[in-house]
Amino acid sequence: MKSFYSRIPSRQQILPVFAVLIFFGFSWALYRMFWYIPSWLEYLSVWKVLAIAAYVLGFALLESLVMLGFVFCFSLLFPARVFKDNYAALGSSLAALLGIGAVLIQRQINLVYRLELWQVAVYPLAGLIALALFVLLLAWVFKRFPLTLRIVNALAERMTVFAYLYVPLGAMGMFVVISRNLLGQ
Amino acid sequence: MPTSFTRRDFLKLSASLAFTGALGRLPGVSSALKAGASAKPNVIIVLFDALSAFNLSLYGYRRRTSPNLERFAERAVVFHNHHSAGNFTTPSTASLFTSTYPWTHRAYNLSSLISPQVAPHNLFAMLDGTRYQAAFAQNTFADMLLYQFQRHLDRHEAVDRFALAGRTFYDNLFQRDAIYGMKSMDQFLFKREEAHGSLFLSIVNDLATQAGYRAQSARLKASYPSGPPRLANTDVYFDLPRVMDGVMGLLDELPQPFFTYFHFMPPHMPYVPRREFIGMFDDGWNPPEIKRHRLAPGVTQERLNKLRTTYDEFVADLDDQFGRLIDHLDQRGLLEDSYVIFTSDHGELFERGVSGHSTPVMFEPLIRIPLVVHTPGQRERVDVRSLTSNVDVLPTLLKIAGVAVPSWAEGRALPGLGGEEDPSRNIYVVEAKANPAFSKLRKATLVLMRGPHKLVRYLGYKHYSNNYEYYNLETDPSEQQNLYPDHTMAKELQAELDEKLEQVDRPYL
Repeated sequence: MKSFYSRIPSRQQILPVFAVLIFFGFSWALYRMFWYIPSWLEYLSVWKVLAIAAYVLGFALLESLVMLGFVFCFSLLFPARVFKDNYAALGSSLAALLGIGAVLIQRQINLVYRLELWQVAVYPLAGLIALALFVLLLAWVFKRFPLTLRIVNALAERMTVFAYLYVPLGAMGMFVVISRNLLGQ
Repeated sequence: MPTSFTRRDFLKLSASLAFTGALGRLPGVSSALKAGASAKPNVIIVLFDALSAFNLSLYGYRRRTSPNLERFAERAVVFHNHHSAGNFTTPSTASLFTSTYPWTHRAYNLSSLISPQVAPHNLFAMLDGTRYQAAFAQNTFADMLLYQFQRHLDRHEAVDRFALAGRTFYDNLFQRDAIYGMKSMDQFLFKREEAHGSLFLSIVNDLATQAGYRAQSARLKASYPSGPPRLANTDVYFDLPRVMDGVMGLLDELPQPFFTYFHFMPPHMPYVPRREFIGMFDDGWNPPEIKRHRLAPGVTQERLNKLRTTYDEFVADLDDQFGRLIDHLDQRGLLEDSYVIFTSDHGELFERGVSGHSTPVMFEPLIRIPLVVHTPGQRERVDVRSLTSNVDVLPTLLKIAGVAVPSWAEGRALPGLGGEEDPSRNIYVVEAKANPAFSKLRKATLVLMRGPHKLVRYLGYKHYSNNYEYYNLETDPSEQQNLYPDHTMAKELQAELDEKLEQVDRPYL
């Protein structure tokens, strides 16, 4: 049990990871949304488009939290000296890999609709194994080349600015969504 | 148990009496109908999506696709020349609900809404208080329009109700804000087969959905060898017999008198008939090839023939289920005191290099839809061959209910159901999905029909930017001889259509 608790990161360690996830989640949502807004404005008023934006931003915040939960749970699989000791760097790298991977998958998302049942089960499992190997490799690289650890930590630190920018937007969006659904339109 | 008699109850009773009184005045209504009219009539609209009148044996199609509809027609008014006001669900159902043409209600695009000025003038609002009102649409775009009328509905079933697998977000999580729940969640964050707005969780959702689909496909392989039917633009899978069971159960439990709107997905693509219907039209027959239209994408004739055959099989499948519904209504005695309206929102095209209905090309198989109306207790068939439009449904129901047809309605009561035949009448079909909802029409296909005369204006298309086509459907029912501009009628219709276009564009200039 002691070993398990020793794997839990501090809030300071989590923040940069959250920032990276927020950066990917919100940037993608906003990029897609701005791509869509001209078509929405063809048949919806600005206020109605803002209502949609509230859903999108609120959901982006929720999604970032869910993904943070995933990274957190994933990190618990590793001994503290592998993951927790370099949590910010490893977690941020993992978050970045998930973000980049998700963008690449989104570009070919229609392929998902060709998968057989066994592939739907096996591919995510294979993905998890690959992520675990990635973490082990990165942990070794950080240990072997401390400069890389410093660079990644510095980058992750700077990403926290996105958390301060996007979290209020997401919270506002969530508030609007909850209000609309409690009060009706 | 509450026994108070509310204002709503009073309105329902008054309107029921009005319905009953109006029945006796209808031409073409048998004495049996009049006898049955002493009951309070219900109104049941049954709409099958993308069902072309051309592919129904009821209207003379070579393949026997609709034996049950034919059986139903023996006790109904059959409209032979009924047209949709649009070529896909959103504009056409908006026209059905509001009795206005697309250039008035402005729901041009796939996920458009009816304009705020027109939306209050809808079928459900007009009949509110007269009947218990229930609606169920398997098409999400029609369902969105129903959400615009939500406050007039006593019961609104979710689009994925009676489904086999898959769920929509808006109908389950955001019922009180469904329109924006759908536009943000189902059409943006979690949309199908295209890059989503949600970066991470949409992929998880896709995987889960695909797993559900594969599992259902395996389970239903015996019934659906080519995969289970799916609601277009969603990941919701259904089995029509099961959906029909659900609808029949719903009809049994609704308080009478009621007004219901049921919008079924078949035979909309993907065309996936049940096993027993597969191969039933492997008869080697193919319609004569018609020259490719300039705006056609160029689907090969071989492919078109194949698609048509599968579509016909799917039509026969839905007809089988419609037969079950009619038998159920008959057994429950509902045919004695209900109007049952069988129709579609638009047709489907399998010719000239075009398949489906997402096309600017407006030939008859795409816009001529079935309309068969059973009046309470009707025993004999009545055929109406004059030109009608789906904007006429609302005025007809109002007329039958004894409610004055409002001046904003662009349709009129159907002949045989309170209306008169008028050979000089114009009807319109508008395809304008490439246009913003609230600006001048720049790229559109506009159709004006009067009697057998049909003028089509193609506006703003690349290499076909301001072209007219004129067909005389009496002498050329397959629309192969474009007589524009030589026919005298062509110029007359052109002047009228151009003037109409100016008129509808005026507020947006």
